[in-house]
Amino acid sequence: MGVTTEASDAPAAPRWHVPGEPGIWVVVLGDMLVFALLFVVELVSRAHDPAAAAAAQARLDPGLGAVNTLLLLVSSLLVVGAVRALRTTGPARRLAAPLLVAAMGCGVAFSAIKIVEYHGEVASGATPMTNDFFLYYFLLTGFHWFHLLLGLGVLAVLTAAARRPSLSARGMGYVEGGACFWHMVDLLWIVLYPLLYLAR
Amino acid sequence: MTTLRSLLPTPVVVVWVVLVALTLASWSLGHDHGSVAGPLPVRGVGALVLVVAMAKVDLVGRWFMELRLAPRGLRWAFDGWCVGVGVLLVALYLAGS
Repeated sequence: MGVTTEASDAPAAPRWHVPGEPGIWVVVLGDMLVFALLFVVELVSRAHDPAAAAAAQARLDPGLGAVNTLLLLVSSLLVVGAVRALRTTGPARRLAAPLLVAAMGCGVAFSAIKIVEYHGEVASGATPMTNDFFLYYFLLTGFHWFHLLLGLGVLAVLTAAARRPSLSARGMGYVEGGACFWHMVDLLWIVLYPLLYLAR
Repeated sequence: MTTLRSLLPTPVVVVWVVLVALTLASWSLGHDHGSVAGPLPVRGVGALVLVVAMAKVDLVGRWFMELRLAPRGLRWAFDGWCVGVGVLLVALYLAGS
């Protein structure tokens, strides 16, 4: 843990740089807009019957939601490390694939917790048909989980790419774009968690 | 370890620690659902955790997605989402009770 220099990506870096390639930002910003619309619809629906929504929300487990937030934050840090590793040519580059696999492990753990949560909720009689709060809870978290599963697929592709001895500039662009998709999965949950679990 | 450390420069690690701390603080403030009389009103806590979430999203964009290095248009689009959606959600949340 001594003093170390920055990863060797600094030379020749242009002043501005679009992470990934421009196409991924159409996907990421488009998804963020769709989720923003769903956040709004959920809050508008909640306003129709705040008492019922509060009672339904009290049945969620904020601790599990917090653990899932932390898991995604850990995974994001691992992905940042992996992308930076792939920009190097030294021994650090070999860390990229294991870091990505560890990030996928976080995503799998998130999924396991989500399954436990869904199971407990459905077992206690809370389903999308129960009331509007649970309808939007299952819709929003389910849609997010779908994105997380897509993200796991993206990370698997990135892991395969990371095992190659080198990547073209275009390949590196795809790696950065895939990483940004994963960070989007993280940031959407960062909003979903307080919205659904904490803000009464 | 030194190799791993070189991949995660100090600012990125500091941002990550801040994100974890804000997550724990939000959980600590919000998980009682106001059942325990605290120093803050329930709706104030709700609005606060939503604002904190938007600040966290901005940090993720800036430092993990590396938008701090991105062209101005992309940064503005992302920051605009954080501010616009944040204001909208807090306003709807506070108006909804």
